[in-house]
Amino acid sequence: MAERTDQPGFRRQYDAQLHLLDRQILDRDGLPVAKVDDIELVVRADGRLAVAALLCGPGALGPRTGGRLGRWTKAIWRRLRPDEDPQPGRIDAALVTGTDSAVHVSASAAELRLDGLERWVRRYVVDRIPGADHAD
Amino acid sequence: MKKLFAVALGILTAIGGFVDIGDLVTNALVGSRFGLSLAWVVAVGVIGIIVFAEMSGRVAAVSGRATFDLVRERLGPRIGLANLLASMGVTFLTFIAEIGGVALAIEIATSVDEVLWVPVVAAALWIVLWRVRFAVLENAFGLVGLALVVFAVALWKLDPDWMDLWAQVTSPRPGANETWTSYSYYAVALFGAAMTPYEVFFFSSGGVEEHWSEKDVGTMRLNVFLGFPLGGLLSLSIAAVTAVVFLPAGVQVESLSQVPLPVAIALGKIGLAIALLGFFAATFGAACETGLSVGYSMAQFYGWSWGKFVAPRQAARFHAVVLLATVVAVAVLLTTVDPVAVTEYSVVFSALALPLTYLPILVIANDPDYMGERVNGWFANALGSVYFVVIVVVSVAAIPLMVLTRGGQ
Amino acid sequence: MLTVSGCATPEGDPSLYRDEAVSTLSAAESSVVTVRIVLTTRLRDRTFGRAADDAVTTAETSLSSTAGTFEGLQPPRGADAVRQQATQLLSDAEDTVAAARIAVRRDDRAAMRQALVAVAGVAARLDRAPEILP
Repeated sequence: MAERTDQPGFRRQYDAQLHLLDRQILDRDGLPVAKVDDIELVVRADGRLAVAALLCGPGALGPRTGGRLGRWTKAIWRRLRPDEDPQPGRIDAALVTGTDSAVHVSASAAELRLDGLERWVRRYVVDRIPGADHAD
Repeated sequence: MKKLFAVALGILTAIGGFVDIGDLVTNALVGSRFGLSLAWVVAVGVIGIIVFAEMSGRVAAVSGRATFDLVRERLGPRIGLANLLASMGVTFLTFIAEIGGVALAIEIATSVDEVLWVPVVAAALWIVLWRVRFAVLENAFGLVGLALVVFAVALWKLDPDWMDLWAQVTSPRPGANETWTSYSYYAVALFGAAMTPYEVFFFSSGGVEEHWSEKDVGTMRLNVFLGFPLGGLLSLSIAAVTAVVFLPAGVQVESLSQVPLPVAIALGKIGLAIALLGFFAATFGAACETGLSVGYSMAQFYGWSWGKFVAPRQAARFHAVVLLATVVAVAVLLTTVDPVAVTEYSVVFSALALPLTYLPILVIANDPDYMGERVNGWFANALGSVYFVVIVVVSVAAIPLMVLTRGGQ
Repeated sequence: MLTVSGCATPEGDPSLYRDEAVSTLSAAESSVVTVRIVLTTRLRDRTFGRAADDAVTTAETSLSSTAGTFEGLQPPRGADAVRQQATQLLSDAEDTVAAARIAVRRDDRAAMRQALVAVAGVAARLDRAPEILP
């Protein structure tokens, strides 16, 4: 269970598995960002666990899925990242504004910088096709 | 008045959009080999899809989220991934079959081999998915799909022995030339054709695309409770005409070019033209739906932005998946594989994947976190549970029957 | 003795081979009757030339595939008479269906009528095949 006192986004005690993990994360404009692929917990002074951050991307989902598939996912993800010790995408718990059927954060999707793949695909595939900026 | 028009449009679209290549091929084939003795399977399948479509539509309207979107939350990443792979796999196979079906429909009209039409169809399809508004896409192909009513008209014109047809319906057993094994195999195939998984993903995601809210639940139910059974009757009329014309003649339907013959016999060239138009609309519409569904499943599992209600560049990964799926589907069809064979496999594999794809819907529709007061009542749960047992039985039987009948021979 | 206990022969059981022949001829009948129906419908001007062409061509392809598969099977000892009769029937079927296809593509009504008679004849023989095969 995760406690909340100094984290305004979390209003009550959570069964993290039921209310947090695998939830859709929506940015401040209501647009989808990612799913909560894993969470980073921290042990507070009073011994209880608190949510430090939400983790996203194959670097987080791989290990959580577990098994051989999970390990491969993480291995491939590590190969594709230029840094020496890549960290999974991270949203600090302070950014969380509330949770209902999704987890809402106060930043915009662009600010969160979790959308590497989306930006790559947008730039090299989608934007090259005419009409990419027309909504229905 | 405008509301009445909108409701009527919804129902008509549901009827016309119900039949896809799987229903076309399977019903025509079954009618020619078993008459109407498997009609009960169509009825059971239609009721099943009604039960689950209503649930997934209600989920979309009440929670604002598509059913597949919620699968990972409720079932965890491992089962969610298994669900994704099964659903995407089967939907992709169906997607290939639908594109092949469009190409076949054009082949019948032009006598030019379907393989040559595949790239043309896929290009047209992708442009439609890229540019055409979701509502227009749904309504256009759904309404033109109503042309398939010509099969019911042809049945009437053929003036069959109605008592004999009814006797077939009420004697659910294989005839002299067929075995119980092949009868059961085609029961599984018909069931899979009626309950293809993509229909509920698409229905649910479509609800989000069209911004359904709780007040749309009533209209949604009307579409489902009226439109789907009438769509099922369309499927049965295809089986009935082949039962009337082909069964006594000893012809087994194995290609799409045989399917409109009874309509030609009954109604001449005009009837044939309408039937071909119906084939085109039904398969093209279903190709749109399955193509989008492949994208929906993946995007909703990983939490990407998705849908046609945002600009393509806002949902780049979603559109890239759809594009990739289209390219791979074309590559598969260009190997000159028979689209009818692909269709037959797609319905059986749909039957196989049913439990994995339908269980989450039942779970989510019961979750008060998403549904509030609109969770399943006892009736929906009773039906859902009964169907779940049926689905598991069908799924378990699918592969053994396929092996035993060597793919339906 | 050896032919009676068919399963003991290396090439297979003659009764199984006969069953295979019957099922092949049944599939062939399906294609041939399809062609008969298409010819009739075209002659009554109830279908387009292209649709008729497509249906006949598809039936022809299916027939030659069925026939080819059967002819490639190694007949067990004692089944030669079955093979001879079955392949003769299949060959006649392929000839009449080819003639039908040519007539439909040329839109030659006289030729179509002739083809119809031939096709109907072969269809009737295929229908009786299970009784008259040795």
